[in-house]
Amino acid sequence: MTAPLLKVQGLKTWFDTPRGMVKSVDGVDLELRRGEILGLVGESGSGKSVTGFSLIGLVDPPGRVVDGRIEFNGEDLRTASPAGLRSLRGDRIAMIFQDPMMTLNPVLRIGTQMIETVRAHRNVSRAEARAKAVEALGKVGIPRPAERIDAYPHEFSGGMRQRVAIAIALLHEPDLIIADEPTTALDVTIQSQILAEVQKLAAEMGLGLIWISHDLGVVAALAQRVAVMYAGRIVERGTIDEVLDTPRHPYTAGLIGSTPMANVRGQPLRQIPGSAPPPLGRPEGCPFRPRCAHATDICRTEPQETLAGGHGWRCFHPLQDAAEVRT
Amino acid sequence: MTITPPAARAVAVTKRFQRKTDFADRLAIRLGIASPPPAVHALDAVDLEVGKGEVVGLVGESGCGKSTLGRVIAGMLPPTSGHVEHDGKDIAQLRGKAARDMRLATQIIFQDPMSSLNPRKRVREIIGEAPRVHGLMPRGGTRKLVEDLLARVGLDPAMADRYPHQFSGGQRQRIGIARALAVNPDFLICDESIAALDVSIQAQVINLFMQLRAELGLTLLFISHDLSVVRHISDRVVIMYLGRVVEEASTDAIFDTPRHPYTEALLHEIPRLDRRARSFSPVKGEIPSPVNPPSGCHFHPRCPFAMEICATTRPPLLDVAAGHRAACHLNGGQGRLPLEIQNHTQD
Amino acid sequence: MMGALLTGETMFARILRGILASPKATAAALVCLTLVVAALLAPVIAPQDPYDLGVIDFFDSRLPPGSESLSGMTYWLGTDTQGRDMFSAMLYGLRTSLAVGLTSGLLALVVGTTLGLIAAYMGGRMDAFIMRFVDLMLGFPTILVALMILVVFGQGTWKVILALVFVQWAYFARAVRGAALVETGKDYVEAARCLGLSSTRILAAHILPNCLPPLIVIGTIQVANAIAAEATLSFLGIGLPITEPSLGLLIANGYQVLLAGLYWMSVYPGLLLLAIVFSVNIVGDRLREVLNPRLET
Repeated sequence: MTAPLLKVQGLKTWFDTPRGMVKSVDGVDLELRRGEILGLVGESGSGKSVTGFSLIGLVDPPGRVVDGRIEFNGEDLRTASPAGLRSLRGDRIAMIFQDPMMTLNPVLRIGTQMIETVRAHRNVSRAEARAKAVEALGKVGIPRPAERIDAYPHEFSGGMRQRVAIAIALLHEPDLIIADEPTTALDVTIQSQILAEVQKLAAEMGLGLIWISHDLGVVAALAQRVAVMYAGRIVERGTIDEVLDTPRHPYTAGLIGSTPMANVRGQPLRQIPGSAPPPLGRPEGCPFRPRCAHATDICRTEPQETLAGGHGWRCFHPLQDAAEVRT
Repeated sequence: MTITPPAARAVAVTKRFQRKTDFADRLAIRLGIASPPPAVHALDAVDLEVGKGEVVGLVGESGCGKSTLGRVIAGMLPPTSGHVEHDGKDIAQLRGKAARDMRLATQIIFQDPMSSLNPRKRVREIIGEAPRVHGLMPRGGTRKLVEDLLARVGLDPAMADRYPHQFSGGQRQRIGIARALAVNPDFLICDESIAALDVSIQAQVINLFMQLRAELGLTLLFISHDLSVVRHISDRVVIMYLGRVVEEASTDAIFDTPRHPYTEALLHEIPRLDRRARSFSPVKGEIPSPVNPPSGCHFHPRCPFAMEICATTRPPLLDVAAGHRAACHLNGGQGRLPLEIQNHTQD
Repeated sequence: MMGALLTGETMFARILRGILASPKATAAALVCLTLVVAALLAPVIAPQDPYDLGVIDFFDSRLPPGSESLSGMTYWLGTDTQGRDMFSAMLYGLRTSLAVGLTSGLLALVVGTTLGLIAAYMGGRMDAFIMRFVDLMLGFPTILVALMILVVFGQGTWKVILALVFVQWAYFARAVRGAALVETGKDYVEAARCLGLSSTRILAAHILPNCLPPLIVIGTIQVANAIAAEATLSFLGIGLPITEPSLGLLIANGYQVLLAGLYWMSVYPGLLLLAIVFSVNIVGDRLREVLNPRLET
């Protein structure tokens, strides 16, 4: 069994704000093997984006990774020097954001930016870097890459910009890519194009991909494994089939059950009552307790993770009968 | 037998947006040193009917004009040409009290919960202002009306004195719905009202819409890009692409027997949790800009079945079955036939 | 996070909290408050009414600070060339300066805000017309325009106020138009239209309250500017009449004898002017931080 590409244990990222300590990520365990796609699913406030930022070291004060091990290729990233992290970022680990303008500088031609990225990590001539950039643009499906490389970001449509951002992420053929909702803001037919490209490239390059999303449907189609986040913790994780066919955590089951396609047309949708707790008002013990139909007194204490093979869940009353949640 | 007129009807509605030229611009254009500002062709001769008590889902991607159509039908935007009828009456001809009644009878539920409520007003004032100003107050006054409405939309009436920023996104949408209901509308236009909400909250608000429709006999025009939600809540579905209606039918018909390649493409993309590790086979090409739409059928540059005629002639919106219309040149105007039907006709 | 709204807080509470959180702003606010109260109570606290010719003793003129008068009153800050007690003259001068500054500031606010709102809401030609006018006003140096107006229309307190309003309204109009344009694009304004509310109501009750942050900041700073502008005009001799001297006029009067070593007639009014303008600016600066919309949740 090859060592995992990424092994995260007990990750905690907290933000020290004037109103209190916001525990965005409060004890997250993740594992990713080379060539695998992991879907990190959660709603707003679950901490999924902050998890992504923590892995790549982009958490700014007042936020701080306060605890945990982030093992990448055997090395603990938390103990790495800033220079060491910087050399990893863009080279071995890359990130794609929801808004491609977080990657693209609006006043630089994309060629300029890409060449700069290449030469930041490799000692090559400008001509070689340019050739590599043109090749990357072609790989993500930009038509006429040799011409388009001299264009500015505003000359591209939203979908094309995201492809450019992906191309930049792929320039050094990284081992790990963290994608934070890159297709959420795109139209459905364009999203499909991007997902097709990503699927193809992930398979070709054998890279590890963490796909952060709120959309279970996209994750179901794209990923092999999935982790569900709620209020800063991973409440369930496993293979796609395990989690979607036999969800053990009531929140996972609730999410699956509330999608319209899983319900009878015209009938009220099965819904999870209430709403997620605000980051500073999380209940003690299991954060899902106030909304859970199965909650009892023991749920006021912190549930530990139960692992059955690769399928894990944090719940005192895991669901046994999954028949009702099949789509 | 009298036929009740539809709740709302758009007849050949066209809407173009063009930046107004001022004196300096016009001079420059006349001298030939500037070109006239580009026009955004938001809507192109659109016909749409929403029957009383019906829920019509209006679906499309960016640039299709669905939000603009919603505004035009609500009477908030005048069409460039064509007209809109409410209860059989042309709304552009209404004056005085009739105009005001029309305005109040159709309400819009907006997309962005953050900007759809006035941050400086308390919830009580947000909901109670319009009924008070228009003299619609029942016995008991504002307090009771507001509290009843808050309860109806599933919020605690005691929160009426709070400000919007003290509520979550889902709760703000409910406040927006209460505000709309305060003027007793018959017709609600939901413009991507759940798009900005978390998935689990979307389910709650969808259920609320369905409940209110049943309780109050509302007519709903549900504008969304999400076909799975539209399928759940709508009686009929209208698909738009770049300012034109490309297909319209009952929900079952759209999902079982789509007759337009674009509809098929959209159906293909509906997220289904049982489709694991699927390979994506997307429609090629970019969505064109409404400033410069393609000639003939707007979809032809991306259509896998495009023929020569598609580039030159706009396909008319024709009946392909009872209550089912499609705008496509395939199969002699019948649109794209699902494979089974195709095989049958070839027998 | 400083400017973020706490749960259920009103604008006033937020401003107060913001000012108290900064020692510099708190000190400046206290100075402002003291000076305003002093100006209001001038008739009560001033040892002498500087405009009552019966009380002024010409033989007491040009006395340095700390001197005693024949009647036993101490001239704490000396006397001027007419024998007036500087302290009293300064208090009354401050009163006049503040009155003119606040009045012109307030009137300019009303005029500028109204025009700014109309420009933003109506758009099109009206917007273009009003904004060209604003650009024109902002293109000229304030003092120059005020000078020209006063030269043409003559002196007098109300003429000075109107001249100051004329040069200041454009700042308000521009700020309010910008804020109002942002608000007009928001859904709650469209919702108000959908609910059949009149344009006037929408402008006054919906848009205007949301334009308050820039308005408050600009208002505060413009008051300081108005005080300084009026002082300049009076110093140049085109401002307020001699019968109602403001700090500017006092400075001008003392200027003639400054080089003779009789510093107190110019310097003290100058310091007082500096104090009021400076402290108002610091408070305005702090308000700008506190009310920054980007910090709003």
